[in-house]
Amino acid sequence: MNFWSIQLLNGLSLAMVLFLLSAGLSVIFGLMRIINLAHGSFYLIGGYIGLTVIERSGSFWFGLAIAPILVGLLGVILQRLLLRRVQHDELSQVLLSFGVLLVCSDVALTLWGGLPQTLPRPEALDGTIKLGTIVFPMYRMALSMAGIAVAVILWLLLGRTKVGARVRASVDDEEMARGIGINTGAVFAGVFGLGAALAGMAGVLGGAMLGVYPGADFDVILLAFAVVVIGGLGSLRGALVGSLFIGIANTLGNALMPQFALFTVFVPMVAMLAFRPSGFFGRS
Amino acid sequence: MQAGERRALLGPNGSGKTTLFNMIGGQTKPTSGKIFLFGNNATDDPPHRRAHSGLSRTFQITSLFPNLSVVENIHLAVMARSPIRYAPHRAAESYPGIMREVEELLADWRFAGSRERLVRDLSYGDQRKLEIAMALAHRPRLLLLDEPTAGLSAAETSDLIEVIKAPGPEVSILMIEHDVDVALDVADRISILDRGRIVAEGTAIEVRSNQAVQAIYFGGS
Amino acid sequence: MIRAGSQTMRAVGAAIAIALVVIAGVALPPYYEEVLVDGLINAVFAVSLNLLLGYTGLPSLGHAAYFASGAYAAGLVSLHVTHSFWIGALSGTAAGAILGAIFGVVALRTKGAYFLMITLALGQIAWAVAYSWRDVTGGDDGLRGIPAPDIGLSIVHLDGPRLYFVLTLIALVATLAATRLLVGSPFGRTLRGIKDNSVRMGALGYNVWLHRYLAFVMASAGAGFAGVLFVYHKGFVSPDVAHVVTSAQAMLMVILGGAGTLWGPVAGAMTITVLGNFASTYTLHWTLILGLLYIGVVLIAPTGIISVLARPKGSR
Repeated sequence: MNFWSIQLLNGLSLAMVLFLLSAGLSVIFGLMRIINLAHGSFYLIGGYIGLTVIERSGSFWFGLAIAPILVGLLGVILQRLLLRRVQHDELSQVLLSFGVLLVCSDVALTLWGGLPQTLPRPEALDGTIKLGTIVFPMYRMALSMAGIAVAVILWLLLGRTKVGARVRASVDDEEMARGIGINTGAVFAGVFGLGAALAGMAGVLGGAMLGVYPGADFDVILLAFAVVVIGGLGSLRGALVGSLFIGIANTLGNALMPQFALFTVFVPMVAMLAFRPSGFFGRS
Repeated sequence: MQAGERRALLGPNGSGKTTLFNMIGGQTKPTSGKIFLFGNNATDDPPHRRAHSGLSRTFQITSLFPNLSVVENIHLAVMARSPIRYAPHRAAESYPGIMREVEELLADWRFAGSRERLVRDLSYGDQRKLEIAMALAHRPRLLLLDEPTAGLSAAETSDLIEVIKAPGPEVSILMIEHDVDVALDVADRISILDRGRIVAEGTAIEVRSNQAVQAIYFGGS
Repeated sequence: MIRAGSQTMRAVGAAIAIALVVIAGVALPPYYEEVLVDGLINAVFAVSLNLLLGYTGLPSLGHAAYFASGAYAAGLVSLHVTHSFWIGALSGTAAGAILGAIFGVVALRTKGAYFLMITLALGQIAWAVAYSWRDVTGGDDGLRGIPAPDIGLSIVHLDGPRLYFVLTLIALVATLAATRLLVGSPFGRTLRGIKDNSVRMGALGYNVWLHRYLAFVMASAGAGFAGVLFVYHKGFVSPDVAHVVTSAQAMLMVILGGAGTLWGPVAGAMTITVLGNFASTYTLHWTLILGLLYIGVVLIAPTGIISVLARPKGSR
């Protein structure tokens, strides 16, 4: 029983990191139909910036605040400067964003070196908590709760605010939205920036749990794509469901049959694309 | 429809005319009901199988091969129902029968002069004409025309009407049109579609005096 | 459809290119020859992807899976069955074709962005198989110590780099000849029509799915063949050859050179291979340069260098 509870919590905390990572990716695709392979770079750079800020300032929370802002800015620059030019050409988007991924990967390697590093956890959360007979790491519990909190905030933002309404209108019909005076350019840049910031946040939060290392950008982008495909492109709810699915499946896979762990991610992805490309909750 | 009939399909915007064409052509699946082509149940047939049984169509937005030349477009239309279309080992130009048919079509439809021009560089009227030429390339039994005269000048329209009236009774024609005069000129019978249902059907006179039709078009006489 | 003048021009250009490569292969020291062979093998790989990407309009981000299956199949045959080049090549090409036949059924249920993603995922599945199936593939150590192949002529042994260079050059020329024949054939014309307007093709009477599937299998066979050349050249193969990075690089080679042209993928492959080798000698930042190349190609020359060079005055 202990084993399953621990695995479930581990899966849940991984799922929350994935959710932060893929919520942005999913909405970006649904909104702008942009495939952005460099989304993994946001995670990596967020984690590294967080690392540096925490080491310099001594405060985890400071790092958690700064890194997403900087990464969000990077995202906006990327969108306005580069991705906007290949708006309707998927192949070009893939190549362009892959190039950005490589550039960021090299820059990160140069600035932060090749050794895997783990972000130090905040002292307040660096312990364990006992529920019944099971001992859980406090950090993972906090992470899971934080993820749910972010999900709720995003849902409220999108569904209950004027800004959210503008985003939803632009997703639904860009031309029409522009026609009624919505500045879709700003909406797109803003959503992209927010998605990048969330990915940066995932980098800090995940980095304290899984570490940051060269190649993490690749590993997470593949996971994020699997999440987005399964959950459904363009859907926040889908990103949550997909994250839970992949997070738990991958964790269980690693625990039970490590040699097949990789398949737990890609086989469902293929199956979903083959039979229901719009995912569980996506718009086709 | 009867064999050899010329039928016009009219109706206000959004009534489902192109959707109906897409269901007949196989580009869209109906949510219920069946499609019968030439006496056979074609509901589950993909578009290419329907083409082989004798169906041909044009599209509301001209659907050709914009980056290929006129002769290459016609060549594809001619090759479509020949088994050589799977041959990977010989030059496409080395099949004299096919090439002869291509030359004939180019001459008949007066495209010989513009044979090397890319379709996207053709005038809109010429593109429409080419689309019909390609649709007729294999003497289909049923030809679907989706607003063939849309966007054409008066002169181009009367040219096109001659083209549409040219084939004999071995080709049945079902035509979507917005221009009522064109429809009346070409068609023997008319069907009126409104919000997905046929609300009237018959000869021009019958339909014109139909009250439901008047309500649709003129909001009640 | 092709003016006689430019046809001769192209034949002359091709002859010159081949002659240059032969001279380079013969005159340069062995290290450079190694690089050239790498380039030729990548060219075969890129040409096979071009059939899918450039001629049929199917953007596959997992083409390395078939390259890898060809490499592993030939490697295994060479280690356990026979050193014969012909049997190894046949096995590898068949392995690529069979994997393509299986994956193609799944992949062709999708289009556009979804096709990109499903081919990516399928490629990663192939990578995962190579990585996990230690007993057969050697896991992340891969297959090692694959001996030089035997082409069955007692006087000729392919353990000399010069002779292997000749072999790969012949292989590339053969692949190009086959591609040219295919592209000019009725089947090739239908692929071009499908790329331009697949709905119209269906309405005319073409079984679009079947044509795409056949192209997919052919392209996978070609990739498998390239994998065979690769494994005999290097003497080893590891799971990385199936990774999306390899697939993406092949895609870059095709686009850089010019998708939908015969020589484009060759030019792109040679450029990237030579550049990569050259850059790796002088700097640690080849990844950065490569990344900038990806970005540059998309923004500056999306139709590729060949079509920029070959653009005649006037239309097209």
